[in-house]
Amino acid sequence: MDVKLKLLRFNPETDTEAHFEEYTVEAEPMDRLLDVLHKVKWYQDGTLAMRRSCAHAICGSDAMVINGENALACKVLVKDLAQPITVEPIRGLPVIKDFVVDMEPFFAGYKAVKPWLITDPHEHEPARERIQSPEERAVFDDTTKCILCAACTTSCPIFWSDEGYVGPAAIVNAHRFIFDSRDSGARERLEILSQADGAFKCRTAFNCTAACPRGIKVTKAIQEVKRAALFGTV
Amino acid sequence: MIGAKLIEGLVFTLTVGAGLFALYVLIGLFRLRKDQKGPIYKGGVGQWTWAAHRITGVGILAFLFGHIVDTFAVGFGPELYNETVELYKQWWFAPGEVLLIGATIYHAFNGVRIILFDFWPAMALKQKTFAYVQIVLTVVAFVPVAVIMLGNAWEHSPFS
Repeated sequence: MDVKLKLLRFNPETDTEAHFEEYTVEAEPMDRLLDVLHKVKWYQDGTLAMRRSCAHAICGSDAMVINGENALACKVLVKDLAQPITVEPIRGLPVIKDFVVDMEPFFAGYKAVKPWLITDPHEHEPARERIQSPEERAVFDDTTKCILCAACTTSCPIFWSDEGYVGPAAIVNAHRFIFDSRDSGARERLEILSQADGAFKCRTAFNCTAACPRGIKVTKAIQEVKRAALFGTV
Repeated sequence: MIGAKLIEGLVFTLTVGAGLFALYVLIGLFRLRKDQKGPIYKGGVGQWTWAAHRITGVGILAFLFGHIVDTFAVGFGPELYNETVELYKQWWFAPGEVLLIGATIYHAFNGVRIILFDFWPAMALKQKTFAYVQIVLTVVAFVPVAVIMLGNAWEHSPFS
């Protein structure tokens, strides 16, 4: 079958504004969008810039706006997309070229919430493993699935207009540690997320939950963090 | 009275301005960076209820400025105040008033929905259902009011 594509191109060296360019590619219905983009890049227009690494929805490199909604190009099939398929870079981050965006503001938000295990400094290093029951683990199971693809953060209307907002992905990763029974940095993180650029900037538009390629209930996690910050309990 | 005309003019400008400002906010909500251009993000019912919440909120707030000015007129005696609020009783003002009622009802019901998410995060799993319930409640509360108000305005208009 012939697949029609409308790709939003931007070359900082020659363009002042982004513009759509159209391509037609021969593809199978069961091909992924990523395969189709490869065909454009490899056989039609080598200047097309995009990121992809594993191509199997694990590395999170190829998040794009596909037909108006965030998704991973390696996780959507051509047969499920209305034609012409429009592809744009994820929004709210500076575009470097075509679908390659500067992820630094995204990772700055991620780093801000201290996404690592914080142990109690008053406690000695444990001589044994840190025991956790299946029930304790289940509390934050959903948020361990994040692959940092930025599909949620760049689908958020608040993030588009305010790069300072830490964004859904950062809050999801904070949730992963705040509700971990082995971690003792909850108070620290909740303090960070209670600030102006933190969790309370979320206005529950739910775009993030729909955009997450791992099916994380992002808004629910953010609400749990807000509630924990509000009542000071985890 | 020239004072009444001045205040009336100010109230009129502010109330019409409120509506225009709300429209401007709608455009601003989806404005993108210069290096990005494209259609509005598709989003779901959550995105659109959020956008409507902000527009109605800003519209009501902007109207409030006009409302402060008309209430201010009462300080100069009942005549001036009565003459100023005459503006709201004009038949051609009714659609704006109906919009204001609609915006307030929507903002109230949607606001309650959002607050509930804050206290019961698990509600977020059924967010679409709650959004539709909220929209139905808004319509049910709004339609009778709109019919009564517009019917009244129609009777007082030169067309009836």
